Amino acid sequence: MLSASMVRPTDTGLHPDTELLARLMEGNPVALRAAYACYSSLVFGLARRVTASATVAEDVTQEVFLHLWEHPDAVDLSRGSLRSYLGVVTHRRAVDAVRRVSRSRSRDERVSRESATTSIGHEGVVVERDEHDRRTRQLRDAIDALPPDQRRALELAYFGDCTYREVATELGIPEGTAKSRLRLALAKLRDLIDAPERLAQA
Amino acid sequence: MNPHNESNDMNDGDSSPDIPISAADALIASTAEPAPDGLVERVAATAATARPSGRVVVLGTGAAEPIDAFCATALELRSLLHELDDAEWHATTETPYGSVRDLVAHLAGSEDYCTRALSRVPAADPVADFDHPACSREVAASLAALTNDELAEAWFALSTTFAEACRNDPDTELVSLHQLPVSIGGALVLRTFELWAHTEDICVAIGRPLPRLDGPRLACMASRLVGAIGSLVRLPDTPDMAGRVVLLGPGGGVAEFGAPTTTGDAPGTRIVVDIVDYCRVASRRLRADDLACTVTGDDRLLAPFLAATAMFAKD
Repeated sequence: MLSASMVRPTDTGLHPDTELLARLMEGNPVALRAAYACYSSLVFGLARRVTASATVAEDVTQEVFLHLWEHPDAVDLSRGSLRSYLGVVTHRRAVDAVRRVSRSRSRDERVSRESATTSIGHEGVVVERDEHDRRTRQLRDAIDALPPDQRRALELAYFGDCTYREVATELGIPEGTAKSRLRLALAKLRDLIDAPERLAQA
Repeated sequence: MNPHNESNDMNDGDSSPDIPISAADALIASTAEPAPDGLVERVAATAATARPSGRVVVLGTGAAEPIDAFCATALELRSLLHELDDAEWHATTETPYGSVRDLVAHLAGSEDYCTRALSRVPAADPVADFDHPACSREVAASLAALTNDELAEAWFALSTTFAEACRNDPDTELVSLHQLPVSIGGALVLRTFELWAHTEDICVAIGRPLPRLDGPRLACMASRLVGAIGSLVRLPDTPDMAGRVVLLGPGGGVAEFGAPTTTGDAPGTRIVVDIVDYCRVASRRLRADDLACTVTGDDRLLAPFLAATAMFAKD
């Protein structure tokens, strides 16, 4: 029997990004443009926020989509959506770009950012697709509802890849205060993350 | 990073806060802004240079060597076995063998059977040569008095003996496993499938998360499998139909099956499926009817493709 397309979902269901990735695997350039249309705002916006440079953000965006084109087999949809994957790759590459620029400008001026024990890694984490958009909205609202000083500390830590000490320096506050602000902010967010039932009622 | 990881060393100013993925996603969502006009053309042009349009990611690219895939999988199982307590050793598995102990004893017998097969000596028991569970019974029974750790080491020693025997033969040499002629590489891949499947059986029995195979091992297993069954998948009334499978995820890629195609011909059937799920069908840990996949074109080729996929699994 001829059929244009047949889908056999299981309990876990087929991921919406499945066909896009399949076409990237097959070397279909239309799929690359489709991925770009879906995710370039996310990639460019995040890269620009982290690097604080439109020029560098363009380079990072190009790198990220080139990586997706050359290695669509690196995406593991059992661990998270394509959107989450691109967010991770973009963040990592943007941080690397900032470090490259920083190193080339003033290698000896300050303690290298490489001394930070880890970047804010979030690789390999599954975000359930079904709840993703709703939870993102709710968390965004929660972040918006944070007191401005806590929110600023959180944004510096994530977008700036800052350590506690660097957050304190950037905000001109004692290190202990920076830690307190971040601890309070993360505690509020974790309350939401760890209690989906409460999220549903939020 | 675990999204629920509460660890947050507040004593070290040089460390970075551990921001949960969900919060990171929410932060990212607030930053979206349109990319500059013209950037898409630069991306497309660079991509075309890096990988020309129509060039597929070939299944098997970056694949591990069969001997390495087997040894890595054996090492992982050995590591798991040494973590088990006595109750876990006696947990019941969903296999014909019974407990975890019984299953490991079966594996030991299975390794011994395969090592003997490499010697090309005809099997003493023709029934056991056809019957995979039966082929291991004698050796399994001989290990009954061992402690759990001794049993783990006895199995591992036999797996090492098998691997060393394989190293001494060229990959293309054929051996007979359960009356099925396979290459040395094929035998190693079959053993890798069995070790992986039984590792999953043990994890299910004791309530642990299933192990994740790395991309190079999955690429090795899936590419060898599709290569072995590809030409066997034919429809009696449409023997010239070609198919394509796109396996997604680390180790994934594109492979053709069915009738040979000439360049530029579109395959009559296109199947898209996750590579791990596909390997679970091969090991019969996932029923073909329960497999999530998309089929484009003539779906009649799906059933024989999946039936051929599971043809090597013996238990």
